[in-house]
Formats: sequence, C-alpha cells, structure tokens
Amino acid sequence: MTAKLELRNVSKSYGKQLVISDMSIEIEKGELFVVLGSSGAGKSTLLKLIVGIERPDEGKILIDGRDVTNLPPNKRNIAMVFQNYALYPNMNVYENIAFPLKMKRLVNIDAKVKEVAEKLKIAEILNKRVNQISGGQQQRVALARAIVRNPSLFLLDEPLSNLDARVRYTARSELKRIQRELDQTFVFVTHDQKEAETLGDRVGILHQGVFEQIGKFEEIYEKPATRWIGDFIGDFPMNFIGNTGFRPEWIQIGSGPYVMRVDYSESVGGSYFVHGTTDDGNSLILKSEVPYAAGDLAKFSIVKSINFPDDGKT
Amino acid sequence: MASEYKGPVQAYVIWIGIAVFTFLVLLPIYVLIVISFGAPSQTVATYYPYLVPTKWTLKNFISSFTGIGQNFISAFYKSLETAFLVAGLAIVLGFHAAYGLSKLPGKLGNLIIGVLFFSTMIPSLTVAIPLSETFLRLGLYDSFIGLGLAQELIVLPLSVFLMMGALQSLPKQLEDQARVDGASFGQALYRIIFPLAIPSVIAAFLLSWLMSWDEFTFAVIISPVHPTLPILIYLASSARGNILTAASFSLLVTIPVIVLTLVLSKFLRGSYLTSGLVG
Repeated sequence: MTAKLELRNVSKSYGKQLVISDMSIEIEKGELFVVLGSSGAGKSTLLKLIVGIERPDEGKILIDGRDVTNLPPNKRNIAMVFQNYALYPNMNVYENIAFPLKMKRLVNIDAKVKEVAEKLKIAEILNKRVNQISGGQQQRVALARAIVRNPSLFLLDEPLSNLDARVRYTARSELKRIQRELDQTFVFVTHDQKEAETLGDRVGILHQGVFEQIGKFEEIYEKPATRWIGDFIGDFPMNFIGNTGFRPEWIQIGSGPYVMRVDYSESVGGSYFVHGTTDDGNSLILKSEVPYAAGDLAKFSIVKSINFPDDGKT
Repeated sequence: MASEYKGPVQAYVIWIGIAVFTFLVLLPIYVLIVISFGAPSQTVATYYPYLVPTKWTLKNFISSFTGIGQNFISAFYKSLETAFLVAGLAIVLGFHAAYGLSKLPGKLGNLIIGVLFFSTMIPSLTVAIPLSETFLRLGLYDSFIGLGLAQELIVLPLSVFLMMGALQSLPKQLEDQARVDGASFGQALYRIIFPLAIPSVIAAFLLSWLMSWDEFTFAVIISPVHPTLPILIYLASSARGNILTAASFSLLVTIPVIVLTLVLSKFLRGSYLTSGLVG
C-alpha cells in the first residue's frame, strides 16, 4: 500500500512564532521526496505534523484521500525514524523491531521480524541490547522497526546525520535501494544538499516555513526560483551582479565586458574556481580551466544568467 | 600544574572515611545485640556494663515474647500490612500523578509539588486526633487501612517528586516513537515509560515502605489497640515492659528492612537507564 500524502493550507505556530505558513503540497505514491532546508526552517515540525505528534493550527492532512488531521499517531499507519533513532533501551534489537507488530496484535511476528532483519543484514544482532551495537547498526534497527509493519508512508528525520562519513555514503545508497524495493512513499528531511541531490525524486526547498521551490534537484540548480535558493543550492553560491544571477560555470573567462580583481584560485576536480571582487564590490566565484594569481585582473563574459526582480523571486 | 597522582595518604583517606562511617552506623546495632543476648548481670544490671560481655544467653530473647511480647507476631504483621499498603498506594497513585505533573508546561509541575510538600510540614500529631475522630465514624479506627491512608499523606509528595524527576529526564521522543509505532496512550505509558522509570518507582516504594515501618505518631493515635511494632517496642521499654524486650524487638524490626533493601537494590542501580538515543 503506497500513499499519496497531501497537505492543504497547513499552518503551525509555537507561541508567537509562525513555523509553518499556509503550506499545501502533494507527494505522489512511491516517491522519495526530500525536504531540504537549513536548521530552524521547520523541517522537523513538518514531520511531526504529518505523523501526528503535533496538530496543525489550520489546514488538513490527507493520506490516500483520508483526512487524518484529527487522528492520533497510532491510527495513521505512518512509520517515522527520528534523527537519533529513539530505540527502546529496555528492549533488545528483536523486541524493538517486534514492538509495532505487538502493538497492533499482528500474527506471525517472529517470521516478519526475521525477514526484515535479513533484508537489512542485522540478523546476527537480534538478541543484543541496543546500546551494545554501533551507530550504523542502530540506524538499521530503527529502519527495520519502521519497515516491519508495512506502513503506507515513511518519514525520516535526518537519518544519516548521526553516521560518520564513511558509513553515511553506503547508508545513503542502501536507503535508495530499500525505497525502490519496497516501492513505498518516503519523505526524507535533511540539510545536506548531496543527500537531496542523490536520493530525491523530487526535492522541496523549505525556507522559513514555506516551500520556496519544488522539483528535481537539477531543475532547481539550473533555475532557482528565488535569490535565496540560488545562494543556498550548489557547491558554490550563485553570483550576483545587481539583479542578475549566474553560476560559476555560466561564464567565459579570459575576455569580456566584465572585470574582477582576483583574490585567489582554488583547485576543485580538474578545474579552478577563481574568487574575486568587482569594482562595485560584488564578490564572485568564476570557473576557469587555468588558475589566476592574487591581484590579477580577470575579464569574463556572462553566457547564461537569470534575472531576479527586486522582490527576490523570478 | 596539579597532578592526578594521589600520594599514599590520599589513597587511604577514603577508606578511613568508610571505616568511620560504618563504625558509627553499626555501633547502635552492636549495642542492641549486646543488650539482647548478653547476660543481664553484665549489661543492664551493673553500673559499668561490659563492652564485650563474656556471658551470653538466649533467655532475654525468649522471655521477650511473654507478657506484652505475646503481641509481637500480630504487631509485626500489622506493621507489615500497613507498610505494604502505604508503599503500594504510593507507587500506584504516585506514578500516575507524577506522569501528569511531568507533562505540565514549564515549571508548573514543580510548583504544584512544592505546594504538596508544604502539607508535610504540618505536624502529624495535630492532624492525627481529628483524623481518628473521623475514622471512628467510618469504622477505619485501629485498622491498617485507616493507618495506611493517614501515613500516605506524609509519603505521597515525596514519592511523586521522586518519580517526577525520573519521568522528566526521559526523552520525550521515546514516547512519541511508541505512539508512532502504533501504541495507544496506555501501551506507551506502561510498556515504554514505566519500565524506564522503574528505578525511581522502586526508590519511591522503598522509601514509602520505610517511612511507614518506622512511623510512630499516627500509629499510636489511630491504631493503639492492635499496635504496630514501633508502638509495641515503646510499650515494652516503658513501665509495663523492660529494656531487654525493647532491645530484642528493635533488632527484629530491622530485619525486614535489610531483606527488602537487599531484594530491591538491584533495581536501583539503573544500569538500564542508558538511553537508546544517539548523538
């Protein structure tokens, strides 16, 4: 059972602070949707609203067309993995995974637990206590616990951020593989662009409680809807001269109408990224095949650009 | 640049402290043993009692159970049932109260507990007499239920406070996760929260039990006809009894305390308080 998740005009405030503002969005069945935003943008609040730990002040939440806005979390059939996994410390791995099945009084618990444990390669640690296993294993236990009940929707709150870099890389591709295999709807919250880029079918950029842009990562990269997104997305922030925005690679360096004084060049991949300042004070980063030294004058022409009107949105 | 190296003196200081402390704690028990089992001629009947008597006897101990002492078994039983009632009520009522208070916003829960503690400042004696008048009418006078309810007043605020502290330190996410995993409110409370709060529940149980076991004021006023053990010891050491009986019974009074503490001590270590949260 996969779900279409829909939010209609959802708002949420904590005290005087408006955290989610009149949000409407539809997430398709079987999609891996990534919510990308910096801390404080409202990502965790969004997940809490969807799963039912918090109630929206306004608006509706629908799963497969069913209005769940007033249902408690245990009646929504959504699985959630918290950032720090929230494994039950008084139970071992097996019992943690079995817990959701016990709560719903399902049958065949043993077979289901073992099947999921096999799939996630944690069958050997089933009788260990949760504080005896590594971070990567804990993450897989949390995932197993979510998967075992076959929910209609998965929510994951920064599931990779507590892993060390090496483990994170493999965990990332494993998550993608699992999602494809299960063919379920995943909503994945992160502040890491690389995760959004590699994992998401679609990415939603969450900024100050609103989705400023939703689409494929490449589309957002090439056509940011707002100045903020141009600045936020990409290995390097977008360059701006006045209202004209352009990415470091959208220029021809060597000759052209524009000039900047070089501060330094950085070597990335096979190319150079030249940092400098124009006469009117714009800090720019330009891509170049050759390095420039500090103090050089670099001429360039802009091949492609986006014009942002004064209110910041295209 | 202070060094972590402890000289020979510092290493032993802590052992000396433990020895002194143990000595002070065990000394009264030693005195009780001497009086209970030493020949009276060497202990209570002389001006200069022996520190270590040479003549030991079981006669003191056995004769304690005559006269007033015949009531020992029933008094022991009365103390026992009262203490278990008090401790049981304390954790059943207290756990749920503590959970509710821990969910209140900000410091409101602590404020309410502070007010409840205030009530324990009232001397039991002033409450005991009006209380026994009411109990007489309700048929609770001299019963362990009446006494238990009265003692509960003293014991409940502390129990709630202990359990509240533990519940507040539990990460809210565990409860949220349980609800997300399909647990109803009750299932989340009793299957996840309660097991994690067990050390504080056991501590509250033990403390309430001890407070009831030792309690005197309510016991002597509300339940004088079938007294609890502390009352019996008091009667035994006043004009109607004798000091040898009092000493023997005092020793016996400590035995359930030691047994209960040993049995429950493994729950108090809290080794499974280590959380399932990472980072």
